[in-house]
Amino acid sequence: MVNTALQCTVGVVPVRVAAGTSEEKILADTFKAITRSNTSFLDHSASARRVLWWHHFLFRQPATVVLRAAERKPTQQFADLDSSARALTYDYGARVLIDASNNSLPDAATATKREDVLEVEPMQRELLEALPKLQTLHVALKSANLADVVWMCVGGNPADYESLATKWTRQPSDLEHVVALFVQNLIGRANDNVSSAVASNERLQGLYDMFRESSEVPSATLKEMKLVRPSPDKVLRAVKLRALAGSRGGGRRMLIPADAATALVLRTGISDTPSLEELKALAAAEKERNWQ
Amino acid sequence: METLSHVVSIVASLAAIAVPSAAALGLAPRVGPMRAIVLALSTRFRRARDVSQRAKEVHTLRSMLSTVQESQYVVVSGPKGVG
Repeated sequence: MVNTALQCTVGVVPVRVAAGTSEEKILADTFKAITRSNTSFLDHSASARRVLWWHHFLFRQPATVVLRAAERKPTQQFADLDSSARALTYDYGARVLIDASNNSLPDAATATKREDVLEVEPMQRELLEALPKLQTLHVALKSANLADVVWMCVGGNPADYESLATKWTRQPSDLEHVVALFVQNLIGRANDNVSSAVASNERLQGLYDMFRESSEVPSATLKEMKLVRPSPDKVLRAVKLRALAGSRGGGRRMLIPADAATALVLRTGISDTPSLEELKALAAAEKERNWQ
Repeated sequence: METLSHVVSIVASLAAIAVPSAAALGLAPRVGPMRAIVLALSTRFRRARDVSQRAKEVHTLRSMLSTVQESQYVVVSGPKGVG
């Protein structure tokens, strides 16, 4: 989405930011990208500042630095995205866009009063099914009566659908088998994430049990239960209520499952290796529940 | 006069070494307007390999970028793979 928004734009400088990277390193990498220099022993800040000034002068708009945060593993710290963005905008006059997943974005980056945040939610089913790239897969899934099962486990994540399509092209004759393995893998991973979180703090189970009855739980529940979410949290994510389709009471922070497979695991306590028949029955029950 | 011509010859010989050295180190053409032009044009005509179908969000992001104030920055966040 960021690439589409920035296509045919002058002066876009993508910078990959690994987890735990310091502000100095992020700035040094950005300056190297701006000046297109590979020398590490030189300070490129003055050159970068000059290039950015000339860019602004010649094109009447600042260059856009895109800080792409890589995924953060459990033992890794957050990268200094907020202070780097501040330095690049305030001190160097660049336009900065931070592109990060929930687990890679430090809370500080959205609490500096300098940020303008666009939260991207999973796609609606209609939009996902209209993607030209995935048409063949959707037709095949529908004709094999598997579309609801895949939607229930994958949700509105086009990258997962693309991954399934790739696996299917390797084994085109056996869609059912490919789908079964794919969704079992997702459910297994979700079960692992829940187990790891509960192993780190068994009181989290009480919080997760709330998702059997509800698809969202207020963030304030953490305070009531005196709980801290693990970091990175692979089970839940926090969203503002307005981001949830059909919800009321904008502005309240809510906790929702991190993805569709986790939602399924929390709601039903499903085992790691459910059969396709079991999943089809669950999908039919879910559909019924949503209609009511 | 002789001293001046001597200085000029030293400066000239230093420049003869310094300019290619600076170019080799990647300094000379990268610090001014030429680099700014190259930087700008390198992405001016580049199209995204996979065009996102999220027309509404793409439009919102473009307008956020075009109206972002000095010293402010834009954050795009969400679960992995949904863009």
